Amino acid sequence: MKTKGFTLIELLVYISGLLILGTVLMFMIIQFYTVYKEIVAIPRADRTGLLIVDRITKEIRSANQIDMIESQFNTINGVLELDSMEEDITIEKRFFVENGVAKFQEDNETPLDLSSKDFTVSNFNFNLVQTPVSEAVRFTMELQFQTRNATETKSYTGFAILRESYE
Amino acid sequence: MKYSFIKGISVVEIIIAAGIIAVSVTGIAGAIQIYSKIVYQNTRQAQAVLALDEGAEAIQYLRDTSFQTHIELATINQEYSIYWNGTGYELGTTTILLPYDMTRTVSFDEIERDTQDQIVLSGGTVDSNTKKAIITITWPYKDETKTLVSEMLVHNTYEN
Repeated sequence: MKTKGFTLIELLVYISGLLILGTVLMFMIIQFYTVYKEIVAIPRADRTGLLIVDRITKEIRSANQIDMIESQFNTINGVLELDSMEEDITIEKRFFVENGVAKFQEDNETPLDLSSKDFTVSNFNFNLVQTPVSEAVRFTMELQFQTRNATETKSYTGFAILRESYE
Repeated sequence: MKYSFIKGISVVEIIIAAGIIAVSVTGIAGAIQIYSKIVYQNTRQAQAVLALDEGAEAIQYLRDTSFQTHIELATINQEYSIYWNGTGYELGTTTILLPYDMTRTVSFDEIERDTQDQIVLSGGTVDSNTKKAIITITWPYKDETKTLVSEMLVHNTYEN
């Protein structure tokens, strides 16, 4: 007797085949995504680090003076507070690290994240550099991020003279 | 003539499907490789610009500290590295590697002025209070060395 449709065995074989194929595909996609994330992680860290350095450098250059009371120099996670004049109003600009995220705050506004939570910012260090005629700030920063096998660390450095510090 | 239609996938179909998948995967892998190379080059270029920028600020710092000691007395066309000594920047003759095997050097050239005090390429009088600083950043890329150069005039503004 010939009946239409599939037998239970055929169905089981078909479902098993699909499951195996699905698992292999999922595994390949996960592997592909992991490798892709690793490929883009270092350039992402670099972009973040360079953008932070660029931002701090520009703010230092255009600042009128450094707030020596609020700033914390030569400490592992320091603070840099700058006073900038914008349309005759003094604006306090502050760079610091909170929970591994680099932050920028203007006056008492909500701090802006300069780095994403994918990275841990550490050794955010500021050095005050003074010459007989000018003031400058050198800063260093480390970005840490996880890869499959290790924790990667990237260092970034910047240096800028306050243009307004010249008498 | 009788044709028989058999349900299922033929070997030819499997080969074509496998071929399409292989070409797609190879294409995607190639695209990722090209993308990562472009990103790598752009990032190095951006880092070189920042290193150059830091170098230019450091030269300005050296001028502010003492033009005579750091810049006027520097040997013309000698390549110096610019390094941080913990409290300030200095010029040294030892090559110092920056991250990603970058090097940063500065050399100084003399500036000549005519009787109108205008800068001339030759035939003028050497102005000991002005130098041309040439900052060079190099970094390896494959079998070649990439270079970024910037020139700036440094004047003894503060007579120091």
